[in-house]
Amino acid sequence: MTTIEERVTDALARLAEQLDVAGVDPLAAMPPSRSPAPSRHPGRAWWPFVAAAAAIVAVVGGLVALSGRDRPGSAVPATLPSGGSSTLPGSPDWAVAAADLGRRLPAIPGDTAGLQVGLGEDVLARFVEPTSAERASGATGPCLHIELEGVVDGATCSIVGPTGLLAITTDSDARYVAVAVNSVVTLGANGCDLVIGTSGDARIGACRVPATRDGVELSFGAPDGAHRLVIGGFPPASATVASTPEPGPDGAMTLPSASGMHVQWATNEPPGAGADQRRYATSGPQPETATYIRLTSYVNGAPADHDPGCMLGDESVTSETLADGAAVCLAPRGESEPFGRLAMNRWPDTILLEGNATDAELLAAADAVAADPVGGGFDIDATGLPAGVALTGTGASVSDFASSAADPTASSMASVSWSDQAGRSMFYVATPDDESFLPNLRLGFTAVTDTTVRGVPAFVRTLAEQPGYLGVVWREDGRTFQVGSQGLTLDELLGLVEQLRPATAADWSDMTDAATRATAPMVVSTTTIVTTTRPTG
Amino acid sequence: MTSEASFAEFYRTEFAPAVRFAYLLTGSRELAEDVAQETLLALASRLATLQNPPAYLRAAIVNRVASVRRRELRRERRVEGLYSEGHVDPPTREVADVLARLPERQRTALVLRYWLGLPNTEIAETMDCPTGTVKSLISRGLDRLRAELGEP
Repeated sequence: MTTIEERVTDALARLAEQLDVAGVDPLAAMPPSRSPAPSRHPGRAWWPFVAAAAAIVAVVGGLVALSGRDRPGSAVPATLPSGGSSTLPGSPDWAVAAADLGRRLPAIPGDTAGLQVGLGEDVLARFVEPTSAERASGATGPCLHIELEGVVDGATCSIVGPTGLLAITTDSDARYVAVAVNSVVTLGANGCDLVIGTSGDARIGACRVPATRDGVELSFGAPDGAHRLVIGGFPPASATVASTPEPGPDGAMTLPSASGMHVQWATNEPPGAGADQRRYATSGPQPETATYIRLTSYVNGAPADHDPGCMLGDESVTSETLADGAAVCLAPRGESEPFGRLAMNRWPDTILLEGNATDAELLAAADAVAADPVGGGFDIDATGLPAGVALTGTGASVSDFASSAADPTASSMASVSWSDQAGRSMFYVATPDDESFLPNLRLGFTAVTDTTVRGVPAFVRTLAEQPGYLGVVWREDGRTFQVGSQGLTLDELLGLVEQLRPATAADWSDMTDAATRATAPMVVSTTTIVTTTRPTG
Repeated sequence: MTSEASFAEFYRTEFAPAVRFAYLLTGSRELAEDVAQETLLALASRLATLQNPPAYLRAAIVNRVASVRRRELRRERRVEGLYSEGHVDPPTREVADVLARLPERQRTALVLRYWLGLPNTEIAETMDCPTGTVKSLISRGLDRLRAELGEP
């Protein structure tokens, strides 16, 4: 008889196997002998690589692969110099990095026809696409041409040729634009400023290779380092550089390389999804010492006709029923534990009530929870709050442990994550909150200890269930800095905090660039909110 | 092996399984492609600095999926049309439909266990949660599957 485990195992294997991945792999056009063998259980065979490899190589590899079907001829350029990186002013949002190989490229708006790559006033390449009418006719099929008029010698930033045309046929133009753009950079833009802009109509027709032009076969010398260019940024990035460093975004901070910490990600947007939060506490500078309740609500993802169950993530919850018949669950706790947790589902949201409150107080509050038709989210009516407790803060989570009263979808909030070789990490988010919101940030943690950092008052936060976690909060330059860390001692954390300095625009560009080369952010999840906090004393 | 050959091999070998892994987590081919590409490429330049690249990349994909899914959920407010890619036999379709309705973390735990075959400790590391939570997520996910599929 088939068990449910066997059935799930079989279904997952079948679902994975029926996915035709080769059709979307930019490298799939490589010769068959270099194609990957499908793996049914990748977890056991994945990533046997320990050698670092430059993404730029894949860019060229991808371009070579893509060009294979339509490459019109051969005119091999000389081997190009390796190493180096470009440092370009301009909006990071418009940057294309070598690591963008194969990605769809939202950074190029509209029709890419007429886009061109240039060095100074010299045009190196133009990108040509068929018209919509040509696409609709199906006569030529979707295609993208790169009209290559020059290749840059990275050592001298001079154009060394050759000229020619590379035609690529693809059914997914946008992503291949990235490959094509980067190929030009790869061919020798080491340290040179390349830009893309629009200039005139460079159309030469869809998928036709002019007989008057020689074809180009790309060769490469495996240059390492960052290569990128700016799209839509005329005048060229090589234009005037101000003598006074341009400041980075509000709240942007950097650490010196001597700190041993490396940027994992840097963004000017809130790192978390922004679960709605409200805090009900007593007034005063240390509300965590009295009764309080924190309400968090977030979309749980379950369809309307399916109950996702208790979202506390604990095996031994107790179930209760509210006055209206709705089910809630309570996390277990010892008699001496002041911190309690309750969860309830109101599609499409899950609502968590947490804080220094008895189970009876949490249930009374749950009975008084109602949707807020004005501010959105949910509210606890005053009739359901413990004596002396009132609404003190409304906002949203901007990470697992950071909150803000500002709208996370409409506010810039610089945040950076670093880690060292030992896997220890530090993260911060700078929010534009008023000082009056600060007491709310003391709620929901096992222990809060006042201290001083960077010459201003601060407080350190700890979590019982995450002994590796340490956080510190302070205000600086009109922003509230909420720092979290994993694996650092308090002295190490405070030492790093003291080393933070405001990032210039160039610093920030480097950091965001480094972040694109690092792996995915250490995700701060609204769902993990349910498992993070249970103070014991 | 030269660096370019290493990277080409890396990408060729890992892209397809990465997409499949992300597809099982998301139920969306488009999302899976994006997640796999972004994560693999982001990891490429850091391979030499990682003590356990498989575990790191696995967690990176799980994290990126969670991040992307949250953004989608906040925009669309509900999940629809998961695992709609290709044609599968009816028994598999039944399981897929239930998987699509599971809470994301239950689905992730089940994929890590029953597709990758990971033990609870590695699932906990990947999902950044206690092993007790992993047990709970898997148990609740299986309970839901049993109930909806009519299994004993």
